[in-house]
Amino acid sequence: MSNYTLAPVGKGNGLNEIDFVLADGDSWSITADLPDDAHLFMRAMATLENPVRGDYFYCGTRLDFSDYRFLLPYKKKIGYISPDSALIGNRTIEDNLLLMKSYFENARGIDEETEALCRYFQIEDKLNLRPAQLDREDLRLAVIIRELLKHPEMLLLERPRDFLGPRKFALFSAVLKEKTRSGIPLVFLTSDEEFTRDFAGREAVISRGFLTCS
Amino acid sequence: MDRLLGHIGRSTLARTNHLLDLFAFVYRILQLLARRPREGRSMLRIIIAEQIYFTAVQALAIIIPIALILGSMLLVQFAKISSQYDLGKITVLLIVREFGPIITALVVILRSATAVTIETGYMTVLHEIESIEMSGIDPNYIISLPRLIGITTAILCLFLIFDLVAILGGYLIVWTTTDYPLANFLGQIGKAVSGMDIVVGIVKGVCFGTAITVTSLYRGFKAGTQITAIPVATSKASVESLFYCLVINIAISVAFYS
Repeated sequence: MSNYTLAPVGKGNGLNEIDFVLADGDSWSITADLPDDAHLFMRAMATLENPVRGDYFYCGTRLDFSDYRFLLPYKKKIGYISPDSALIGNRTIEDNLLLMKSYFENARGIDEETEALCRYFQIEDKLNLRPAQLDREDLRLAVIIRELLKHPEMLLLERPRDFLGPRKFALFSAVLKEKTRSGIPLVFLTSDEEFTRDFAGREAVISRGFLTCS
Repeated sequence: MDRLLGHIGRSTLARTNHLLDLFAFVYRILQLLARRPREGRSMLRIIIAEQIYFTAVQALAIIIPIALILGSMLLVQFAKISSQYDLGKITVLLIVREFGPIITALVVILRSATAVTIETGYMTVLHEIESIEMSGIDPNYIISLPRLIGITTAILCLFLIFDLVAILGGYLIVWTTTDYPLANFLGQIGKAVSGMDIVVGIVKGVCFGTAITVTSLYRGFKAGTQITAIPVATSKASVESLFYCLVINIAISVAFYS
């Protein structure tokens, strides 16, 4: 992101002319004086917010925010796990997890990778349920599985420990360590010091709408 | 006086803007239909089938009784004041050309338009639309296009069913109170129905289906971030859909029959 400015949301100050570069293998921890600004930054990274000014470059290509359709090929390469991340309510968990496969490959039926991840996170018996029938932990796990199945080129995590019990969080951490070791850049927002110690390579601080990197 | 004129002016501009937005939305959806991307076809077919089931098949339990009641009411009354020759023509004039389409559209608005607005409203408020975008999928392709095709197809099917049930069912009621021969009645219906009636029926079906779908989807997508906006959006969608259907109905009738 270059000279990126975003209008404030909620009680935040917005983001003012921030410059942020994410390279392969990077792992950034984001902290902010206002939670709304931190959330705005993560959404901007996921291309879910239109900038007032500035440019977003994805692997050298300048993204065009004039029409959401231009962003779709890039959004599908970004894994974004946040408290806002939702599953489609009128579809089963299986349909949600296989949405991209069903759409891009016109294929139906669960594949080995999806099955393996569901077994790993222990939600394989819940695939025929709708999101409203799941508890918050299983819902969060389904979102995590969906994002991992995208084989993302970048992972964005907001409050990763929220809604996950210690056992399931340990399972998620193990998968995340594998992903970061393979070079996938990671940007996360958390108040969990242990997570920050385990994963943060660098830190970025947002204060009064301005970003400082260390 | 100035304030009143200003208010009228701003209101007119806002409504014109809204109409233009709806036309732009129709154009966007029809672009998808024309492009026919290879991706998502099997998903599209499934959602279209689901929409036809919800809108047409599940509405039969309401449409058939309403058609029977309306058909009977009209035929019982007109049987008293008209000859055998006139009865078939009146049936076509009222049921096939006017009441059939409008009442079918009303039932679809009450059932499907409200459901579509609520569903898309919730999807917008709960970030489900964003989740679809984050999967690299155009939400218009898997939400708007199948609903347009499904609801329009369902309306056309329901028109046909309504007309048949109203005419035949209505005749059965009339037959019990009079002695009109069935062959004569059906012969008069056959003479009164022209190719123009079929064309007009299809045109009305397509226009009603488009108006209802686009209005309800638009209101749902514009629900914003507050869940409390969804009931307001649903109410607006139903009222607007009904108004547009009435205007389209009269415009088509005047254009083709005057």
